[in-house]
Amino acid sequence: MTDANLLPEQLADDTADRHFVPAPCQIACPVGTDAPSYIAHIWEGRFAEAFEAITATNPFSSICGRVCDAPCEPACRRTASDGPVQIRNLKRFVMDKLGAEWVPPAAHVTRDESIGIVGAGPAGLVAAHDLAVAGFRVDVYEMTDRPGGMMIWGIPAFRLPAGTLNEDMERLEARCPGLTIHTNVALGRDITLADLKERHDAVGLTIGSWWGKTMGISGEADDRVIDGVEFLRRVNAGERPEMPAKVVVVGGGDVAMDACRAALRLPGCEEVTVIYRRGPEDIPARKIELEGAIEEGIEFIYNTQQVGVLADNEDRLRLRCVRTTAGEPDADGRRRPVTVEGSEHDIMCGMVIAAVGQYGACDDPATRDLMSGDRVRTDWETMRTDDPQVFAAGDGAFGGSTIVMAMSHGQRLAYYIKAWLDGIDDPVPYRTPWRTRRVPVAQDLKWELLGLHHPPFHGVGDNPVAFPEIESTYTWEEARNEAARCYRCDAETGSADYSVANREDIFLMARMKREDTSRQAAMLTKRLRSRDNPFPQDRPATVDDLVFLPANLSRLVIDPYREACKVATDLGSGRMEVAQPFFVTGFDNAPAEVKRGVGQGISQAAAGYIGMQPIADDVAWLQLVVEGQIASREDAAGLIHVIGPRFEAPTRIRRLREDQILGLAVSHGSALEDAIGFALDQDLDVLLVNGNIATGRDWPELTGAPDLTLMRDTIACLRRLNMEEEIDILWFGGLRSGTDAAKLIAMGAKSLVMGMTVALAAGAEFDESHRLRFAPDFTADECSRAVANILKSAVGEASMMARCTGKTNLHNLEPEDLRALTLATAEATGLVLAGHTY
Amino acid sequence: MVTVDLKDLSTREANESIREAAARGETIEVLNPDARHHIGVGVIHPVDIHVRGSAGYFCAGLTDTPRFHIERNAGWGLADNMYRGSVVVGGNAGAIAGVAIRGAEVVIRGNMGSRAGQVMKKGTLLCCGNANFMAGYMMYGGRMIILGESGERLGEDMTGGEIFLGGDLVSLGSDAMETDIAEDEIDDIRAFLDRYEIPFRGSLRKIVNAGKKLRYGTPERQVRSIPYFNFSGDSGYWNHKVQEDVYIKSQIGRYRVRGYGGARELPHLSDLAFARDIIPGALGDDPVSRVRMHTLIGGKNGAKPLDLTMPVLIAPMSYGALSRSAKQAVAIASGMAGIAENTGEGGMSDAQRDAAGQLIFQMLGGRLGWNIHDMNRADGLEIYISQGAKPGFGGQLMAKKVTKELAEIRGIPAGIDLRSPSRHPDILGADDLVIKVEELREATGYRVPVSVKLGAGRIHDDIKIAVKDGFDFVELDGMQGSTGAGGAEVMEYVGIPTISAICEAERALASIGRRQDIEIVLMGGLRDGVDAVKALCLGADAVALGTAAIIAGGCIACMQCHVGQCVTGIATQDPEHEKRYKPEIEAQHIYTFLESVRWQIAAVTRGLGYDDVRGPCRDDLVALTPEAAEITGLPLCPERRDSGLPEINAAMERALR
Amino acid sequence: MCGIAGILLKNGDSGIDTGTALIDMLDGCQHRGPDSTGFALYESGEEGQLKLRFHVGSDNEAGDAVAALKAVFDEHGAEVIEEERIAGSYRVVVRFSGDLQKFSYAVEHAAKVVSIGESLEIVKDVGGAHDVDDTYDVHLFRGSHGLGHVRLATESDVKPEASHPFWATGFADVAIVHNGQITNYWKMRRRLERRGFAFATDNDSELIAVYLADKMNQGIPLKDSLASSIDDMDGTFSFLVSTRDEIGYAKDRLAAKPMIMFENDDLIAIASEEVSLNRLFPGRALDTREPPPGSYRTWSRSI
Repeated sequence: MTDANLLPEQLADDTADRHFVPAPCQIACPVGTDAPSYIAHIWEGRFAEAFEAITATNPFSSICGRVCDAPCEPACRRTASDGPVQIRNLKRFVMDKLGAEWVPPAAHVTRDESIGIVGAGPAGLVAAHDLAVAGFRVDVYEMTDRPGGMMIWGIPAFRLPAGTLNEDMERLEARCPGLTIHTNVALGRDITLADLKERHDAVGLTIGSWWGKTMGISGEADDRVIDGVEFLRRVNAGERPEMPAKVVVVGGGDVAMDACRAALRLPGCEEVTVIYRRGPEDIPARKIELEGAIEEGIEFIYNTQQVGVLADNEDRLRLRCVRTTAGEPDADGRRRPVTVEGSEHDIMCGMVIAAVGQYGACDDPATRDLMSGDRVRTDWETMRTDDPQVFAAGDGAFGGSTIVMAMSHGQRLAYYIKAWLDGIDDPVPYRTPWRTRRVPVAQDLKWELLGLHHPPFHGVGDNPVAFPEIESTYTWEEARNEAARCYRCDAETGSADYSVANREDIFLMARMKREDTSRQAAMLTKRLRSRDNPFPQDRPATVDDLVFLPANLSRLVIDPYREACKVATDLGSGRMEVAQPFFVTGFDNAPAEVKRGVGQGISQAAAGYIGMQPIADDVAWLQLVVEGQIASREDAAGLIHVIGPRFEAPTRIRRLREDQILGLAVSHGSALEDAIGFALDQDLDVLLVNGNIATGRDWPELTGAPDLTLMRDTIACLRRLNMEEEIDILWFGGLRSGTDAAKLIAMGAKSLVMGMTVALAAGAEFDESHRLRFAPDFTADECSRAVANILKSAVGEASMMARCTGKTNLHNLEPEDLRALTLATAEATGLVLAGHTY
Repeated sequence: MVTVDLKDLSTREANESIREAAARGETIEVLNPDARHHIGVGVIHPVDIHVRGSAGYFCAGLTDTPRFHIERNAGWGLADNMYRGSVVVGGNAGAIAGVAIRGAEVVIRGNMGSRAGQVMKKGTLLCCGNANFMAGYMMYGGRMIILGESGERLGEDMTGGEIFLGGDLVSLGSDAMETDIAEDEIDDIRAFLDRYEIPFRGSLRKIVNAGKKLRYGTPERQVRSIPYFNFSGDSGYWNHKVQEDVYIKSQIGRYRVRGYGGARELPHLSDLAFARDIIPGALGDDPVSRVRMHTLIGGKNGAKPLDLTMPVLIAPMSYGALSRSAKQAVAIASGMAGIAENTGEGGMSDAQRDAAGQLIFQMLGGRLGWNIHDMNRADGLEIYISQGAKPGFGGQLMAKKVTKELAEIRGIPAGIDLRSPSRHPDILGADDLVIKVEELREATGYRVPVSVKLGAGRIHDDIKIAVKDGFDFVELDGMQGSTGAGGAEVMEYVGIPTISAICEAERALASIGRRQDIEIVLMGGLRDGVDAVKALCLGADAVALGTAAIIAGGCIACMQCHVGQCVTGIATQDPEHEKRYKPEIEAQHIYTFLESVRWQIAAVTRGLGYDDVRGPCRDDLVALTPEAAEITGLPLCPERRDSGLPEINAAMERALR
Repeated sequence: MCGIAGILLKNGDSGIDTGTALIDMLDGCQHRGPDSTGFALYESGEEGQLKLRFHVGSDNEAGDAVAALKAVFDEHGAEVIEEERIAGSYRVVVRFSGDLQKFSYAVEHAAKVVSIGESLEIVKDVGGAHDVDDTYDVHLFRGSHGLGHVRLATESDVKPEASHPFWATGFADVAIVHNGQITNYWKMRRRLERRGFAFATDNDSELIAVYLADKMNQGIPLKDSLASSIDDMDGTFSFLVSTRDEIGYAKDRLAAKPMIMFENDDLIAIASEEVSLNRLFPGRALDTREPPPGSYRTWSRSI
């Protein structure tokens, strides 16, 4: 069984794709959000697609857009240079735009089994969602009056405005018709585990950590000492209690941050101080929350531990504290705070909010058997409890964590419940599914330049007690700029040897200790695996698999930046002198405007044209003649008679003027020898060898790689007859660059005919059925410039190759300057493999 | 006064005496020079040296502050790379007089040969007679004064500096033009002539760069690269990459430029597998302590070899292509790992010298940042002939990266699109190279190894030349090697794969029975210890890692190195961007990577049953593809693909996360 | 990749012996080419007589080769006048009046021809100038002109037959020495092969020799042949050519290979480096010249 059944049906699982390596941000995300794809979609302005990518594995995207602790951001590779891409804020940008409107397709009930989930927090609701999407009927039992758990009770409105959760819940309900939420139903009070087991095929306990821990110090029973969770719960329920002027918050976690900031906004509160027992480097609060709190004027006192609470008088409390220093590291690597002797001191305040941890609890005696302390005893590998029908997840099973982590627990829970219901005892261990939408990399010129840009921060605002939101979202331009910053670690780059997979291995190698033998061994094993054969047998011979041998020591390289290389080309022993070796073909049936532009471009580049008709008055034209169809013209610079698959001697081949070139065009190996024999016999000037057999289409090169064996056989035949160079060879087929051209020249061509490449330069594009269409908005001027440029660059590249091999004349390239990279190409060209010599 | 008579001494002995006397500050007289080469190279003291007769090639080369007086003629490369000091030649000077001078005063009373002042950067080159063709070829700065005829193509492709001509102008070179001469310039020249007691009453004209070729025309649109599998392998012939290329070239009318190396899949060491199963136990304990990896490179001809803790070096990468911070990180890491680092083209910085334990100093055709003092503090010298990414082409450094500071170090004008010469002014063949190698040895007292960096092409011939020219080792770079900037077509289609290069080199050296006379450091697309061991099996004496080290240090392979605004601060000279790079942190990463490479080399070596890294050999390899079999001559055993490897179990996989 | 040297004594006695002069010049630039050394030496011979030199190898194979050669001589009516075996070579003087090209291709099949000419003799072997002289007594030559060469093998093998100078197979008395690398070698070679020429080696210098000989055979003067060679040959070259009465040089347009000349009323001497020319006139500063790129020139001896 795979986990694919749990995924929205429109997405394929790309994890099997050998090219796909998830980006670090995606790996860091507990729910595997395809962050690079949604970021890329934002850059493109495709918000709906971005929305899809965001919500695909996250039913609480609106929530996460605002309050996720975003483990993706520290994982972002750009963190190391100029700060992480603002992944969470970008999510919020999309959710603000589309979150309220979107109605996902319903996933209907298809299974007979039903599942009961206890607790409508992030873990429970996500599990319910995944199971409902998988086709089960799901009932969620929530002890409060609304679903959401810590998402609503734990986070104050200045961070998470009321209503945000509703967006997510509406989507969730629309998506999952088989999901029912029962509010005001508490386990142990209104319902028992036995009932649930009776009512459902499986039960999932996601009871959370609802209660705040006490500090365990003397005097904390004073009613001016309250726990942070309780405090937030009341505030988030809408209470706005009058506060004393000074409040001290004890603790350094997220609850402490929310509590101190909430307190500051309440009426009467003038000053809030947070004390934390370790140093600033160890404070667990998210950096952004901490910075927000500091920005708002909250004081932080580090290395200070509370030891008692003393009532000073009715208005004031004395919080007795000691100072600490960092001692030996704990099991978790953080240094244990050690009390400094004689450092006792008091902090005066009107209220102490203790945010020192949470715990879970459940009153059902049946459940109690399943618990260890305040948590449901759960096996992480299977999410099972001691009762085979009961599973558990979330804070209530594994301790306090974050919303997104709880959500991932929910996904895991759903996976194992489903596996159990499917009768699979030993399912494939769960792993966060990673998918990619393969969004092309943003072609943003500024991606390297733009630094991190935060959305505007408002702090407590003008009316603090109303808890206005602390920050706005990005404008579209800001979002686009921020999206452009993404490295796109998910997207494959252009280098095979340094593909993402190879790079990630190197990256890991750069971060593993030498003495960590198991990691070293694992990496070595990975590196020992071979890649797939890049040259499978069915790979055709191609000009791509030919390389030039550069001049180095044995020969002198001709400086490609400075020294001249002749490209002038002579055809028919002086009958036709052209400034460079290129001809263009294929535009006989092109739209008039295109033809005009191409004609001008060819003329500017001093190239020639081959076709049934001329293309411009000032362009040398070789006429393609199909006997019986078209008459030879005297104004053509040359006449090339087209030979079919079976050789038939042209009967009307003759010059209409003395300097006219005569030749044959051959596309079929079957006609080659006879055609060569005839051409030599008749003392013709040129042989046009066509590597892409014309099939009556305008662009025969669309059929794919040209047949290089024709060139090999042509030269072999001429050599056999001792007539090499006695006839000039023009090559047509698959020339995409000056490099391709140089290779064909080295193989024996004198001159080169380009079709498709010029068409692409002239604004042609592929339509959906892979046919070529000219873009309507390309003017003749643009077209001529582009055509002239592509020919100019081809001449430049070809002569660059020649210089690099030590030639001062393009036509001095030889087959011996080439090597093949594959056996197929070696065979088709008659050239030797790289690494061998003649 | 010390007299050195070349009748009785070898050049090497003579030069030792000259340098010793110079250090004592004594005036030196050289008798019977008879046009012998390398007279007085490497002198770094302000003393007078009288050469009583004619000097051969490179007289006064690679020096700083001495005053040479050559009575008669001088051969090629007079005052090569001379920093301060002066040379006065009584007769004629041969070709490329004053090549790459960096501030010296060179006075030739007679005529001078062709290409005088090639790539000179600063100082004055005066010829009282006629110049031969292409005087001032590719000069970057300084002043050339020709009192006689100019010769053909004066100032050919000069980038900076001024040429003053007293006689007839035969013809101007490409991108040179005549301009007005200022009064104070004439005064300066008169003062200079007076100082050397040269009577000249004629008028002068001034030639400078015309500025037409210093920058590329229409800028190339910068795009991020298309995934390689979209354009190589089985994707269509007219794939997206082709379309993008055509589109961009139709806008700019020239070849495209980018960073990194060959993008496509090419025959690679990955197409080989080990012939035997890796002994599983080899991975279990600490293989590094159980395998001998210590490697000496470059001691074949008596120089002090590089002393490496494993057969790995850092491949040459320039300060220029890379930021100072990135170079610093690599240097620190190489020092920590006990291997050798290489300066690349852009000169040596103090920070790099201090950080790198052993540093190879690379010399390129433009002689950018090359000088005798840094040669003296290098642990190896290297003559760059070409590199795998773009053999046959000089480096390209786009204007964006040619900052004032960088230009200063390199001795070139700031803000040009620097296209380094494709070849050396004074190495126009294997025969000249012999003399050049000797010059480097003479200048540094035969102390350090001299290597050659060679992009793989006609390796069968080139490697034989390398051994005959007396190099201690060759850094052989296959076409998978990377660069900071190069023509995209050249990266893709010029040169042969690394695996082909090493096999061809081995066969060629075996055919002349000289394999033992040179060491091969293989590079170009090697990424880890596995590639390294395979390279060693095929015959390499060591390997060099470049791109992989950079990736370990934070490179994200966007292939936009040429643009100059590297997002990670690696391939940039923009301080704002460089700020993003944390050299100390990245040095640690690169070092850790190198240590992992070391672990892998040791584990594989041991896994094959050896306790010395020189143990694994060709017999330990098989080919997995027909191409690899044909190239290497190894047996084709596709069934060995992934066989005999330890299983990656879930725990292992987790260990990697 | 090499050092080259050439000398022509314009009018009889100048106090310089060509053999010794060439040995000195080559010794002076031996650093340019340690692999092998060779000389092309011209001494007027007898009318109707040909001097032939072959590489025949060591004892056994030498015996076979000489026997095979003699068979060819018989077949073509060549009468042996004197013969000598020196090291791996065989020198023979024959009386011959037939078709030289046919004859030389025929002997080529029997043994490796080094040179054939009425006045030309080529001596070449692995080792330095003095090594070759020790074996072949080059210093005894007193002829009018000659060429010399030290070789650093780049593309073809280190074998005596791949050493310079090269004789233009089939054409008496034409020899060349070349420094550089012809980069359109195969293209040019195939052109000449199509015209019926056979090549004894893969060495590009042989190509130049055959190219020039072909031109001259068509009646084109040496000077014009040199001119066309500059257009037809690609790559780098400074080469010297000698015929019975002339020497000449051509230099490519890149002028990448060094060449320096000294001329006075008595002689013209050309070498890769001035250090070679200095060997002819120790202690004297010479007024030397460097030929411009793409140039060529010939000198004749006064007969």
